Parts: sequence; C-alpha cells; structure tokens
Amino acid sequence: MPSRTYHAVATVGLKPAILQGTFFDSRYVMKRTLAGLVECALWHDHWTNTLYKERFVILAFLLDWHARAPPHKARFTGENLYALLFAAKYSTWLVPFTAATPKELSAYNPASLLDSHDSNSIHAFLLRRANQVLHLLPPREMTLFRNFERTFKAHIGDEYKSMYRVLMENEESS
Amino acid sequence: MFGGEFNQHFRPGSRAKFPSYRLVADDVEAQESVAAGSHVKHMDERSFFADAALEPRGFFILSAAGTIHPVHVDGSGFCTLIGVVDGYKIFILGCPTSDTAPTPPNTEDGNPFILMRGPDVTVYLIVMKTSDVL
Repeated sequence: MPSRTYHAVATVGLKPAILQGTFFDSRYVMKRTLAGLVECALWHDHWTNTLYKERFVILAFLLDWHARAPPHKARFTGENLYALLFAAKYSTWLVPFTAATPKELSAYNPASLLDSHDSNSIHAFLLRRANQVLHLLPPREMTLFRNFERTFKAHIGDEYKSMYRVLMENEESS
Repeated sequence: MFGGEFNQHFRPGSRAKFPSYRLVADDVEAQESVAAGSHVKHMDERSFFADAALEPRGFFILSAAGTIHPVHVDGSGFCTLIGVVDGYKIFILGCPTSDTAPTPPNTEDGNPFILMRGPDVTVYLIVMKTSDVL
C-alpha cells in the first residue's frame, strides 16, 4: 500500500489471524510519500495512529544515497526527486504538530522554523544536502522543481485552511 | 546528536478517537513496540549514513476473529507491505485519486468510514487469506 492509503481491517473466520508487515519508502512513489508526510504533519490527530521519530533520518539517508550516486545512475528522477527535495528543503514543515484551537494554529508559523533549527540538526542537514543537489540541477529540471514546489506549497496552504475551518467549527460548537 | 532535537519536535503519537470496537490485539502498541526497539546511530556528516540503522519497520499483529481496526492511515508517510501469516483478513482501502487531494477531517467519531464517502477517494475491498501479500 502506498502512503496515504486509508484502511480499515477486519479479522474474519473462526480462528485468530496473524499479520506480518513492514513500513518502507519506495523511490518510485515519493510524491505520494510527500503527500503522506504533509497529511501526517497536520492531520495525525485525526487519522494516524503512530508517528516515527526516525522519519527524517530515513529521508536524509535517501537524499544522501541520491547525492552520492554517479550522475548517470541517479537514484531518484523526475517528480520522485522533486518530492524528496521538497521534503528535505521544508522538512521542518513536515514535523507533526497539534493545534487544538484556531488561535494556536494561527500562532504556528512554519516559515519561521526554517531558520530556527541548529546547524547540527537533521533538518539542517536535509536543507544543506537539498541545496547541494538543487545547485547541480540543470535549468530545465530547476524550472520543473519550482513548479512542483509551488503546487505543494499551495497544497499545504489548502490543508492549513481546511484544518482552520475544522477548528473554528469545533470552537463554535463547544 | 539528534535525540534531543527529535524529542523536542515530536510528541508521542496520539491515537485518533476511534469508536469502541473490540480491539483484541492493538496494532498501535505492536507498532510502537517495534519503534521503541529501534536505534539510530549518529556519525559525523561524512560517514553519516555508512551504518545508519535502516532497520525494517516490521511488525506482527495477532488478532482474534471479529477484531476490527477502524479506518486509519499508517504514520509518517510510510508505504506498507502486509502479508497474512495465518487466517483471513478483509481490508477496505480508500486511495486518494491524486497526491494533492484534500484530507477530509475526521469529524464523525461514530463513523469510521467517512473517508470512503468522499469524492476524492477510490475504495477497494480486498479479502486476504494465508500467504497473501498486499
């Protein structure tokens, strides 16, 4: 199942069931993974049952893996690369947070987080590495990345607005 | 190096308000116990990931007949691979039609299937038996 697949599960039959599973990232569905990270950051209280603290280390591993590969053997290409770069560049926006009221959500300013982390943090590493990779992108790819960046920034903005509406409704009804 | 930073930024996973179905084996605890057993080694930037722990985020779920896990999304944007070791499972999947489809809020605590009524979701029903993989 790719990221962001909503699922309900039932055990049927007359005996217990045993399920084995694992979580992973695929370099072929990174756009969906990014969408899942955005959703998790904002809506984890609604839909997600667990969070993983090592998430950004794994993203950093993927980015580093890509950056170290020879140019003719790129690990990520196209939108999968743009999604990884976006997640790395704006990783602080993808940290799950909780706002219980519209006021708390308004006070939350993810843009300010971009400059607030210390230079040894995983977020600083991701930002540095993303900028290194972006610096080497050819102009055409850079243009495509900018378009991708605009699309996902708009998506994040829409998700914030949607969350704000929900919090407003909750406040009015309580 | 990152432990403090992570602890600052992350809050413990909070469970969504699911209706009171019978949860005999709770996947939340199962998954968190796996997460708690993980350790990430920290190195300087050059060898940062040489032996970083990319441990498989694995889990087992044992559940009695009749157990229902209400609708949810797996955490932190991970993809999930699932195999049935023994028994039968029914999965109802709701897949967003696009990566930027809006997330519907979970405002109806009594109805776990709210997502599957949305216009931006394609719904699948899958029955799995022993040795099937999803």
